[in-house]
Amino acid sequence: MTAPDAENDAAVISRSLHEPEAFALLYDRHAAAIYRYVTRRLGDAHADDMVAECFLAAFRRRDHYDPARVDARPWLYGIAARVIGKHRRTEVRLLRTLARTGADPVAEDHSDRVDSRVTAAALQRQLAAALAELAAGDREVLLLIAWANLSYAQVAEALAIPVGTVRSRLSRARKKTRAVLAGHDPTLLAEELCT
Amino acid sequence: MNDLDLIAGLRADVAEPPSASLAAGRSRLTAAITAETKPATARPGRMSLKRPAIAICAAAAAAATAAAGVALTSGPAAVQAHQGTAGNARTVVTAAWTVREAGGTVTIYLRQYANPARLQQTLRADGINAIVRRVPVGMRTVTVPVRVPGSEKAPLRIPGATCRYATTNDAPPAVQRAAVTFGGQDLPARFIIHPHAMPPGSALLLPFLTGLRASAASGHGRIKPQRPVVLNNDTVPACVPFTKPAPSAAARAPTAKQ
Repeated sequence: MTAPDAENDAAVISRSLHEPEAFALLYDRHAAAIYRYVTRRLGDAHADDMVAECFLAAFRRRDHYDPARVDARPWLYGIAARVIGKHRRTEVRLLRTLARTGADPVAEDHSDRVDSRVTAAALQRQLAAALAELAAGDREVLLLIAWANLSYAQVAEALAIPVGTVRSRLSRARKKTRAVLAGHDPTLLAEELCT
Repeated sequence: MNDLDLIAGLRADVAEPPSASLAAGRSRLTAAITAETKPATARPGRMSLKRPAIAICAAAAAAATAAAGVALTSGPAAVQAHQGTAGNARTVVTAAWTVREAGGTVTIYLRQYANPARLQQTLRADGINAIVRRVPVGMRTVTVPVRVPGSEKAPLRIPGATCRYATTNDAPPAVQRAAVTFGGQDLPARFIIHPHAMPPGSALLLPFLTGLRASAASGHGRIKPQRPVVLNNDTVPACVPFTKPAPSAAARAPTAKQ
């Protein structure tokens, strides 16, 4: 008998069909990442409920899971994307607040930290404005890649769209983002921050 | 650093999820899993989930149904009855969407049809692959016998369904008979759904009418459920509009009066 920790996600989901409580193992593995992704998108005010909704939906659909897909992360992110999609207006509102005020209602204020990843406040505002103006589908693809670190193929799996559509959406989203950032030289900015 | 890196850096500093939140979330999930699979764990050795029967209070006579409903749900559920607007008609208001009886029956009240999406969600949470659909209602011309001495059949304009779901995806009659029964000792007029008699992959279509006159419905938000239908799968058949009455039939009515 395989030890539970050695089971891949697909095996855990299959086992949960006759041992429902085994599904909690999937939560143990991925809840933190899903929680973080949801929080980045919508803040932590409703993260608890949304993560719970995501995993409960996953549990109810587990009999439709393709056992050939060893890693359940794309599946879970896809469900999370649908849950987040119900709160699209909230997401856009939060992004616009950041764009307008420079104060992010979602992330903690670490503006005093020198970090190569953390850009200047003005740039953050422009990025937020760009994200807010993206089409929902384009934003979904962009953030699954940038924030959830999914590959193109995994994003395609998560959103049930062809890989070619992932590429075209990402290309469109990046083009719009670059247009917003046109006034900045990202390379120069990074050097400024690191010195 | 390219634009994608910049986006990746945005909100990279969101706080890690509190361990207490994750633990609470796990508890919620395991509780939900236990609740959803409780019937199966109560019967060790059974692989398939035993799902409860569903009684749908669908009485046309509101008073009788309401009274019976009170009797049925008195006990674990918080139920309150109050006087309705129409004389002795009473309305039963349940505190919860579903009321689980000791025998495993789930009672669905007429008022729950007022929120079909919620009702559908509730039933699915109970393991019933339900599809709740509102049937379009409009004014229809029907010919009914008029109980007035000397009168003949006359066309009337009454509110009613404007279409009927096609039977193209219906499960076989034997399945229908096993899955949906009528009547009961405690509640005279109701549907009882037996989900365990539904084949795997099948769905339960719960059509209903709303917006009817109080006399045509039951006073519960003027909602009138139709007989549930077991479908072979999730595909909901088209609602086929009723054809208008043939001109000859309309022409016959005045002739009969002559």
